[in-house]
Amino acid sequence: MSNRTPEQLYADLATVMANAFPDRDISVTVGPETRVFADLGMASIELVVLGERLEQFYGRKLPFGLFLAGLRKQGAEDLELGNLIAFLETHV
Amino acid sequence: MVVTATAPASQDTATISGWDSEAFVLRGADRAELRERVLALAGSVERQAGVSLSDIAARLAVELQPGGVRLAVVSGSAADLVTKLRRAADRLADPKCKQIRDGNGIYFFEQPLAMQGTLALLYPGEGAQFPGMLADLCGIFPEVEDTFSWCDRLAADAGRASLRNILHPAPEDRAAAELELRQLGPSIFGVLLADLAITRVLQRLELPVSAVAGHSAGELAALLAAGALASETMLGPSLVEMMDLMQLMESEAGGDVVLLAVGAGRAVVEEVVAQIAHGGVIVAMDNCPHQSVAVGPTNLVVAVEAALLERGLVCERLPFKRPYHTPMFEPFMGRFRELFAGVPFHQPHTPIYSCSTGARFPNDPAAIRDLTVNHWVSPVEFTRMIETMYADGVRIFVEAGPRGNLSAFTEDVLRGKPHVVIPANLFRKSGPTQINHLVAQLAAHHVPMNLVQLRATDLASGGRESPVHLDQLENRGLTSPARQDSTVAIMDGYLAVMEQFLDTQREVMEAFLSGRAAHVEIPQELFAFPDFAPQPSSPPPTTNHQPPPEYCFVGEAIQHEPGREIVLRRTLDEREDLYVDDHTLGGRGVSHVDPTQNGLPVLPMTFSLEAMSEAASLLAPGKVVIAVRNVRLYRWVPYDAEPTTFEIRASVASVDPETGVVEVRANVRDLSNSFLPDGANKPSSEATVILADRYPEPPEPLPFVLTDEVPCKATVEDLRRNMFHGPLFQMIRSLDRHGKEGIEGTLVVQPRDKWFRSTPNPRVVIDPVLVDAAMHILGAWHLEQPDWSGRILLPIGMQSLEFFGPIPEIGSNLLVRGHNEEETARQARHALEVFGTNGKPWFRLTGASYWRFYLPFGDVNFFGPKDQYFLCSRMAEAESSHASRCYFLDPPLDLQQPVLRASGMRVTMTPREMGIFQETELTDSEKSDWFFSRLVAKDTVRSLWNSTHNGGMFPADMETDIVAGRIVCRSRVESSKDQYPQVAVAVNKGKVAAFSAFAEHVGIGLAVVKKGDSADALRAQAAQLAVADALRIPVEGWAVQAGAKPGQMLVTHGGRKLRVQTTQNKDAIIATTICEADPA
Repeated sequence: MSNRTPEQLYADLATVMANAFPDRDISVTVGPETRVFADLGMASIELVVLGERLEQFYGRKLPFGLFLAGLRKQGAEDLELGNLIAFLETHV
Repeated sequence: MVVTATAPASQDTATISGWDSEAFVLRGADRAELRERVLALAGSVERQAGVSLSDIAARLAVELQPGGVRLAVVSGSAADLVTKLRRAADRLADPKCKQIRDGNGIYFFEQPLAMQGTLALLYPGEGAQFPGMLADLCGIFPEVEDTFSWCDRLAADAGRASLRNILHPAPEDRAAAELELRQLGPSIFGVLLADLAITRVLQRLELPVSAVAGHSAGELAALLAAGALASETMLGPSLVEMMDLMQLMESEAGGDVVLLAVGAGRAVVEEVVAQIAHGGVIVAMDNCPHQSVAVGPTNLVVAVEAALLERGLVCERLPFKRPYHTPMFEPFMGRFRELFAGVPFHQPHTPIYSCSTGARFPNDPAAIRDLTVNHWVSPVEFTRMIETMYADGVRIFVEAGPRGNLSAFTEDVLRGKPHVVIPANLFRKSGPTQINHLVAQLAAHHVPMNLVQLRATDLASGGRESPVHLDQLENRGLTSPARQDSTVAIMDGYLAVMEQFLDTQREVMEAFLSGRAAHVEIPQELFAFPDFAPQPSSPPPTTNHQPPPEYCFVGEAIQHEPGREIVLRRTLDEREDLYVDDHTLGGRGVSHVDPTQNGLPVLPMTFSLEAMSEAASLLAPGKVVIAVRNVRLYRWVPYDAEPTTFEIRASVASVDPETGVVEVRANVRDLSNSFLPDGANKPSSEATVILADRYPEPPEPLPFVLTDEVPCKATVEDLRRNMFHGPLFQMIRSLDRHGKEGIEGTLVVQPRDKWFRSTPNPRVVIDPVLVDAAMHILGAWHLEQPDWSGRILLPIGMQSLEFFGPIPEIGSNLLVRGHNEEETARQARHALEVFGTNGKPWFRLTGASYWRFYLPFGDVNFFGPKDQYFLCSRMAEAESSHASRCYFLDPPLDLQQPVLRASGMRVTMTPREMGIFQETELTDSEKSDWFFSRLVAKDTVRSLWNSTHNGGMFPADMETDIVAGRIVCRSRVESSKDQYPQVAVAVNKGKVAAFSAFAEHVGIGLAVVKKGDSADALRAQAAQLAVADALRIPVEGWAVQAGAKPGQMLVTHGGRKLRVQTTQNKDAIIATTICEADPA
């Protein structure tokens, strides 16, 4: 488990997203139930980019591919930020 | 863990009647006026309950004028609109806000892309389909309904059920429809229908479409849109047949094939494929740096997938087995080709880009057909195609089809570059709302379009009315009295506020121009600028012919409104601008005979920046340039033989009264350069210059930690030999250490007395030579890298150049650090810092983007002597004896570009050859053939000559002539007695091969293999061509048979069997001979 709090992880995520997609403004209120596709308007490839940038940010490999594959197996059509934070709590 | 699995609301197949949002486009003459308008509209809407948003949107559309500053908002309710307008106004108040791109529907761009490039449409193919796509547009746009009705009619004519049943299924049939839509035939045809429907909607907007392109089957839609394919009505029956054929192919091809989507680009996948599957798996689609699709047999794909997962990459096996876009599809192509043989193709009215080649489609209808049909057995080169389109100037991409996949691909390909990709339709958004987002973003980017026409028809009951001009609104009686009253009241209120604002502006300007004090209260800080302040007793500012400025590079002002804008012109003349002889594209020292022969003189980018900085300084006298931002380089400015006129335009964009910081937008262009058609209308570069009262404090240096740090291997001499700069620009004095992240060295600031003929003491703002010279450290970093391919780097843009003090004294010894920010196959991005003598940063450059040119150097050692460089590749397998040489060149597009070709000429041809080239009237492709055939001949002859005479020779020291229709090489020095060997040259479809030998009969044949050709037959044909060439006789159908050695052919002529040596290089078959009889 991570020694970073969920609040810190949200802040990390905000930093990484701002750097990865610098020309995009996000005006919605972000929380655990915010959906990356439907609410943040991201495309699936951008999720791959985000995973890559998170690895760079934390300086370690993250099993992001397996995480997304798991979601797909569950029939998920979107990813909530709460899930992503839970994933980061486990792996960073 | 909670995972959402609910289908988005927009996927309901029940047609949504009418618009669910509106696009509001506001314009102001400048940002302040725009903000006033935004607040005025927000206030008006807030005060009036029950306002008709559609009427407001329509009236704004009618009023919209070109130019100015624009904000576009998408909103579906009054409360939401007010919130968004106020949020936008807050952002606009912040001068640091350069753009707003809020996916919820607020768009503003300080640097609209319509000013920077062109617009292209992208058409998706299979994979973009989803049940219910565009159903919610059928009720709004009659052409969408009509397109799907056409599908119904086609089905009825063919006596079958309409595809629409699965495209727009009832809710209970949705799951089954989704499965059916995955099949190749329905998916291709379904997406094509949607592409055509969106195209027809876009036609309403009358967008300035400069090009089109499609992904996979989307190419059909692109061809239709560009007029290259018969109309859809004529094509209809063929499309139905094609759908059936595709279906059949898929069922027949469904063997042991797996398609694997990978979250990585082609290079990564190919690397793993090479290690694991040894080429048994093919990358069939290179979609973007984060997606490619690999195809192959199950066992190999599974192994590749495991290796990719091991690297942490995202992989997904696709739920179908179709080996299209690979040679495995070839067995099914016969019927497909037959089908397309009967379809009429035409020359397109709009350029089309090919996803097979990544380049423009040819114009010849037969060639278009070939490329279109063969796309099914060729990999999808989407990444390459988008890069080409971008290089050709496309900055705005509109995805004219369903779902938005291509938008994500394109964004990924162009990440970090100025561009916008806008999908016309998204899987997760309602159709009408996404059309509004499209319109809003295009409007915010100043794309000219007919907004009114978009709203001209509405099928939906209760939907919006036809928009009318303001003076028609009341007469038409379109709305209920109450609604009309409230709308008119709001618009009147809004316009009244605007009128007041404009009056205020007018008063200020009148006061300023007439020399009296303004009546209105304006913050005094606004006039901190000396030239902008009203001078009660001074005459109005002149608008023409100001005294010549003192700066060295801006010439004469032809228009000058102090504190606002300035236009200056100077002459670009090689005789005055001595520095340009030290900035020659192509290189220096290219001739032993004439050591002064250099490449093509080109205006350095930094001199463009100097010109813009000088113009900005004239607008804000007394201030210093602290930064130059958003530098965009669009075109080379080569020096013509005769002087040309260079123009600099600059205008004040903003003044911050609190900080005194001034932003000036500037651009430069060459009005009469022979290399730059329409140069007067297109800037060659542009930038924003930031000025302030004083330089900022030097910041902390950028982090500089070198992984695997080692001393530099390259010497300063190596660097100088490999840069195309002469002594004026050679300031680097040491190359000290480097690592993955960057490089460190030193430079010495050199005098400026030899830049211009007319003055030994030019007044400069940024010292363009010093800034250029500092960047050479980046060249040294690339010289240290093991991979030299793509090592020719030329700048295309800079995010920011910052200055933290005045220009260092001449003679100062300064530390320089180059940083490696990012590298891709086509670009490298760097940062740079130069430290002052106080050890603190004096200059910082960030986001310096360089385009990597891939010149096909066949044999080059960047550390070796330049007279041993060979641009062409040796084909040793085609050499029939040791005393011969064969070279080949397939000129890359980079080298065919007129400026690079001209620079190539300058460094490889003699003055006499260049004169002949100039005097001969040739088409562009003939120019390429003329140049490359001589270049390959020279490379071939000098390679053989060097091998027998143990020396190095420059191409420019050898001269070609045409004798009896053949190229002959001789020394450039007339008195030379050197007898060079004979050379034979063949050109076929732009490819060039040459063969040289010390022999009497020297011949070469070159054949180009097309798909479906027999390589053996072409090899025999090339062998006959070689013999005919050697004997100077026509081909006469001689017998050809294989010889004893690999690649050897025997051509029977005159009772002798003549030996011909052949080889194949990709699609080129080369045959050479010296007409020796085979002893057997």
